[in-house]
Amino acid sequence: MDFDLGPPAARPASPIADLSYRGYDGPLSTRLFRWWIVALAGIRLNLKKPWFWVLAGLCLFPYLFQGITLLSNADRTLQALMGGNAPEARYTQAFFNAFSGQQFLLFITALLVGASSIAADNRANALLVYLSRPITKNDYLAGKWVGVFLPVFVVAFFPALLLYLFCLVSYTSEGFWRDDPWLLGRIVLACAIAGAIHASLLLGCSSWSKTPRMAGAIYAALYLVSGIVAGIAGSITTVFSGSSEEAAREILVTHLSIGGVITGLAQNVYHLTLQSMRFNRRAMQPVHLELAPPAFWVMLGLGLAMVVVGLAATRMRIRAVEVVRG
Amino acid sequence: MAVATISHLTVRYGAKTAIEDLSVEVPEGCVGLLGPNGAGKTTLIKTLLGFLRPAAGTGAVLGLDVATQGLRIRQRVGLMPEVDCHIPGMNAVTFVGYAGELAGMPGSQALRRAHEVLEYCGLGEARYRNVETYSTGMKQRIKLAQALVHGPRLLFLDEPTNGLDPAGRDEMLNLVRDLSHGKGVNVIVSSHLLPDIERTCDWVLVMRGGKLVREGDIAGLRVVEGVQVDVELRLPSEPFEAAMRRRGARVFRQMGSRYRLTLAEGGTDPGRQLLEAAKEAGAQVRGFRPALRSLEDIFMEAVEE
Repeated sequence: MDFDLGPPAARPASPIADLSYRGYDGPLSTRLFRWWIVALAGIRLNLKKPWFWVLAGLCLFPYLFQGITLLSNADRTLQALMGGNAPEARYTQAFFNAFSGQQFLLFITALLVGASSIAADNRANALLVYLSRPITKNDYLAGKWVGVFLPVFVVAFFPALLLYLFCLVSYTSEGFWRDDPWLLGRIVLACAIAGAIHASLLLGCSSWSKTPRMAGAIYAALYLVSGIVAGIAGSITTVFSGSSEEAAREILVTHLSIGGVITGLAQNVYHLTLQSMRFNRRAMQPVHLELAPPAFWVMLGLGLAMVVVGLAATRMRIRAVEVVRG
Repeated sequence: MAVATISHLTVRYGAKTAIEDLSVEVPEGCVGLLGPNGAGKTTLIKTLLGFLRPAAGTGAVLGLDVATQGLRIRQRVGLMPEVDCHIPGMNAVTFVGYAGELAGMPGSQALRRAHEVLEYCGLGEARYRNVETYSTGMKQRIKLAQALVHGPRLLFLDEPTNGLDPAGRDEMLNLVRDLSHGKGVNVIVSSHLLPDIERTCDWVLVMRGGKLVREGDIAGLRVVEGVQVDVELRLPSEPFEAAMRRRGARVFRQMGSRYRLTLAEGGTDPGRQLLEAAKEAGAQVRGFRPALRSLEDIFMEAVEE
């Protein structure tokens, strides 16, 4: 047998290993949906945060609780104690209650997802990277907005969808579908309202800050202080006597906050009159109340104003590149 | 062929005129952009990138109108900004790939290309590290990588050697030189460091007060008028100076034993003259060459005119 004992022949360089620089002559497209690239990058970064998953998990609990309540018929006992809701509204009310119970967690989720959205870019001068590409200010703004809106929306909507599917499987024979055929649409809309208001206001705070912590602190202060002030204002401006006008005014004043507008609009979307017990301080006795949704147009106006102000504040801060110092 | 053509360009910020009636053709290759503070370099590059609308005149980059085709221009050019910049929370490959996607590359190609470019820029080993953990030199390189990823035909480099140590500076200048002279990428370098421009660029534009005050290829600008020779002797020699003066030359002693001689035009061979003078003075000539101006001389002349 012959053996080749000579030096090994030089192997041709593998094209795979050839990482030397070459000009790029592949496709370069000016996409119509350039903002989606920005949004997708933001979403991917958020999905890497462990706390996002923790909060997303916690957001399941209000719907889980409502599911158990429906399953055990405890809602009917509660309704009987409260004076009795319209029986056909029991499912709608369950969804609204879960949505309301989820609000604080959604607010924390929004803080986690949105506070760093533009503030971190400001700190790292990332706008220089974005705006030196074929990306407009509006593309960047839309991308960042969707990058905050979508995670918040999904975290709000996914548990609701699970409960909806559970009800669809378990209670269709008991009138779940018949009582409110538009319930799924209402759920989507309510979750979208929460996502849109959080995303717009948070982007506004984030764009005016250099650090995510500062942006988060500003938004948290706005959210919590507005809620506390509205609550106090509602209670001190109204001495409850049981009249429906007074109740409507109190409801409106207590909803004049970020969280209040979200739940107020959601109650309008769910088209739900809530049953409540209050203590009449004049008559010194409990009173059964029907709490109608807060004035729709006021809530809608405030909600739209929050979105517009947030987006306008953000857009003002997105400036073209400072290219050369000199 | 010119990579950028500017004709009677005027750019204003409100009432202030930043660039006034500027006309220039930026040639292919590596071009240095020089000028003191407020000269209009920033404004010129902003205008070329399509961020500012000219008040008058026209401009085109790679044949695209700066007033109406800003997006298409930015798709074909790359910018390496002066300040540190990155996308927070990303490692180098993700960041450079993302920059490619923003420029319009398909995701898979952007990722493949990110690996190539990072390897070329010397960050191959560190490509999976978060960019926020990079040293100053590495951050300069990643800025170059993100500017290169989509294969731009024209690259704007703003102070590319900022904050680099001598070895890092050397490597960065080699990269810039290789890009423009080896890879066929047109480069416009804005720098305050004249040696950087001198080492990398073939052509220079000097601006002052929003106007172009000097342009041309560096080799041509450095040639001095008349017959001037730089001579270095072993030791300073007054007899040599006297001997040269007797031959009608003007003698300027520069530093140590170096002299610049301005000889009468049309005389005998300059080399012969100075060797004869050295022999006469008993001086030892170490070397001589036709005098050249430094880029600093050219710059100072241009901005002081």
